[in-house]
Amino acid sequence: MMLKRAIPLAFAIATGLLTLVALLLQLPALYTLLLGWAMFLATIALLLGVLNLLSVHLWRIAYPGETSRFYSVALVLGMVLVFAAALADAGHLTSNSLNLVFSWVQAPLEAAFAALLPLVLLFSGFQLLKRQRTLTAAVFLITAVFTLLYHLLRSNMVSQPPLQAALLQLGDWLENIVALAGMRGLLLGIALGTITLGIRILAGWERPYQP
Amino acid sequence: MTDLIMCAHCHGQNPPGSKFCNNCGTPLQPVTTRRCPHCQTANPITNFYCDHCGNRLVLEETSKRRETNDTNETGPKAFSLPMRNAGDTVELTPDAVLDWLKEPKESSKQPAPPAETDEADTEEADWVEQLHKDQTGILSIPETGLLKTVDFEGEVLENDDFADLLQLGSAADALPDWLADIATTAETASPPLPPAPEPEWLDPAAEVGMDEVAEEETAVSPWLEPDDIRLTTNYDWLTALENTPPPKPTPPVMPPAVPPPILDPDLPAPGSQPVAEPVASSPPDEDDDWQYAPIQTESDLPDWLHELQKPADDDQAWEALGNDLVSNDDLPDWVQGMRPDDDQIESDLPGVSDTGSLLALDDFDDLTADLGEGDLPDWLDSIAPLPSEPAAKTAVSPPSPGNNRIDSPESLTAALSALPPTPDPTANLAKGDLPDWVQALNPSQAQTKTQETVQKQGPLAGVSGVVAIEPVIAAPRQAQLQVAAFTITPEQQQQAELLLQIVRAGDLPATERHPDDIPGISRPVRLMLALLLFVAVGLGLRLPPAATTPTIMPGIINAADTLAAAANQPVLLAFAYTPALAGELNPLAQAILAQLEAQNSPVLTLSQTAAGTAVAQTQAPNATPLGYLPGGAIGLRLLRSCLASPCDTLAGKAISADQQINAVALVVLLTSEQEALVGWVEQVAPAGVPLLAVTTQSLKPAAAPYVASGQLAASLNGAADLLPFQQHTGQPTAAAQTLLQGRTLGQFMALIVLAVGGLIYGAGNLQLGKRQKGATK
Repeated sequence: MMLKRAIPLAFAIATGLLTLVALLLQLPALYTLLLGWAMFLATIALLLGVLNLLSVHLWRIAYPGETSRFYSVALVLGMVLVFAAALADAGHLTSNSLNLVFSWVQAPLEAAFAALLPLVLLFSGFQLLKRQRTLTAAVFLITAVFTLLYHLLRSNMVSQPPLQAALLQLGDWLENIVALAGMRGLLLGIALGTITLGIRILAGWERPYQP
Repeated sequence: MTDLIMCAHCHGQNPPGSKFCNNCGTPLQPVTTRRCPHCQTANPITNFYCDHCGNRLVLEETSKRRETNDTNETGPKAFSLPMRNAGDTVELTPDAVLDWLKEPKESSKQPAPPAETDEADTEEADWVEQLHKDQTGILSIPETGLLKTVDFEGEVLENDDFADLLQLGSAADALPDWLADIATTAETASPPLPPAPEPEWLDPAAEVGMDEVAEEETAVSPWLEPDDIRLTTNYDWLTALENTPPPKPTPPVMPPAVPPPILDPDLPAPGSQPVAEPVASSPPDEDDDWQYAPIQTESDLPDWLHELQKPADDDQAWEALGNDLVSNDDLPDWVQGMRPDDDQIESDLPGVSDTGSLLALDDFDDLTADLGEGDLPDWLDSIAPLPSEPAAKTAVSPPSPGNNRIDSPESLTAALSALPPTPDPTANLAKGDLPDWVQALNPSQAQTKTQETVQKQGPLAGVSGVVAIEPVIAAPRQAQLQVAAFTITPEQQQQAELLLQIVRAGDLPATERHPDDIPGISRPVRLMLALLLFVAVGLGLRLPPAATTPTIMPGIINAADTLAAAANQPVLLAFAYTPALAGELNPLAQAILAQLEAQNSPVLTLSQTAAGTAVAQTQAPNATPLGYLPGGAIGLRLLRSCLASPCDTLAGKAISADQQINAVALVVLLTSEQEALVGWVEQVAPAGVPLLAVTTQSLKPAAAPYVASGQLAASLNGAADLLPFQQHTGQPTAAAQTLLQGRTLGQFMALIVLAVGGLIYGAGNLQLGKRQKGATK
């Protein structure tokens, strides 16, 4: 138990400090080497993840239990077909077959799911108005209506000069002041959180590499 | 033994520590958690540190004990209910219940395994409590010198030491019921006790009975018993003990800590009591050879015993011994100062031998007789008897110097016979001068008091001299049990009912939801809303584009100028979006690529997502692909190095001559993810190459701060900026106008729906509120 906990901790702290020193002292040879190792490990981890996904679904095909094996079969077949297409392209047996799979399968599916997003948001807003009778719901409603109206007016498809000018000024103010301030605060929070996380990892208080 | 975590959704088995199901991906709720005392985060039971804050979850001592017991888990496990969060509607299934919870009856019938407690805790536990717990089985009492290990079921021991145990108790009427039962059983297991044996410390004969004690100890070997031995099996020596007749009851004697060595009886032991004889009836055990092996010859004796074996009655030997022991070198200075000079050698000073070098022990007694009063030191003068104390003076008066020299036993006897009789030193003391505790030590009073406390009933009937038991020992547990009343809180009651439900019930049927409980809007309304949106977007895409003149904002001009600055120079396009948002970003990518082609800028493509490489290949088939860049921020950091200075490889891949990364004049990032935007800005922008962000409209607030700070050269955000950019760069705008029209109509429909819904439900809420107020009144 001691080795299981202490060795990864010592290795992580030592590697982190070494990389930090290399970046602070501008030692590109050192941090390039370390980052190259890290990227290699990340690639290996990605490969292991793919293999794990394949093994899990192969197991589910063999022992489906209460779940259906249909989706597992589809996933395994998809992986095998795409991998075969890539090998065929690489071996010059086919040309552009991988792009065909992407253009005719993946892109339409992802676009279709993305197109559901406006519907989901609309239904959620409707549900919010029905279920939540709070001030937050009212603010959400006002913000959504105003944002949609602002973009309508910005597209110049609705022409009402007096109202358009006032709403556009209000919209610009909200976008450039309120939204910008909020986003800057969010980014600053992310930066501070990143610094804190780095310190915690270097100090050994945070161990994301341990389950 | 590892406890697999069962998924509540698919019932899949997952290894300990898993946070998500390996089968279905559902977040796993730890069955048994260890809540962090610092941040209250529920951690897996195997954690020693909190996953959230890193605080230690287990005490150092406990963790060590746990580590040592990992391979031998015999103790009872901690009890905890399966956790259910508020609003968690997942039904608890019996599969998630621990096995021992499912079989409460079986487990209750089985004897409880020995609890793993510290020895210190065991020692500190109340022995009476332990006695109470074990009264139906084996009674184990820590040995305190008088107590023995007794089996009340008569399984093993029939030992007179039980009498010693009972002598610690009080009268039968003061005994609790459970102890009375024990005593009743003990009557059947032990012979009647003789009346009123005196305690050992009051019985002077006990000192003489060492032989009996030795016999008893040799037969039972009580000193070999550890404190907490539980006699569960018959041992050979116990069987032999059963076959031997019960010894006569003897007064309780403290066994010696170390058994006396058994010596050869022929060997003298000067100055000591007779040594116990070896017990012939107890054959020496193999393990006890060191103890029972008799010493046969003198060669077996150690050297110091050889010295003691020399005849002690030899005066010459003692004198020689004295001379060896007392020499001039060993004498202190003040004694050597008393040595007479050479001319006084012939004098009668005591302590000086004829040789003048050694002191004879026989003559040493004459030292005080030969000293004059003036030679006495002050402290001896101070203790000299006063003239007003004739008796004491007679008793201790030293002989006068010079004349009254006593040099023979006869003369001493004669002198003593001439002395008046010595009065009793306690005669002049009144009884009132003695404190009570001293009078309590009077043997005559102690005997009387002991005779008064003869037990009349109970298991100790007829026994006298029983020390009264302390009230706190007599019935401590009963009082505590009566006082300690359990209060069950409603939460505990609910938990208990939940536990019973889990244990007793089988697979619970899934709770059917009532149609009225379905959150959200009804299906027809949802279909109607979806249809309205599709119609609006379809009309916008099908209708001829309206002739609009978009407003060209400063950001659009800035982006076009940034692109123009990289004319005839390589430009790197990073595709960091998936096909899900291709509908919004593909037109922008096409507009950027058209502008770069117009200004004759070679294009390199790169992506950090797997789908991004395919998008790059479809959108920019004529560009030079750099492929997939793994590693997230690390990969971007390496790319930054290649942008700043020439490099041969990027992410392990060799860079060819046409892939002029270090000559790139502009980096264009097309992304829909805030994380990608932040990563590229923070890792790549410091390389000194201008960075143009082309994002979705939702990322415009995220890109604006970087544009304001100068980290981004410019940004184009969504389809709203497409039409102005194309108009500003002179590209055809028909497709962009159609796209913008359909998008605008869809937004308009959404606006209508939200407004109408808000009015309907707002009015409904107001009406409902009035009804509730009326019902309240």
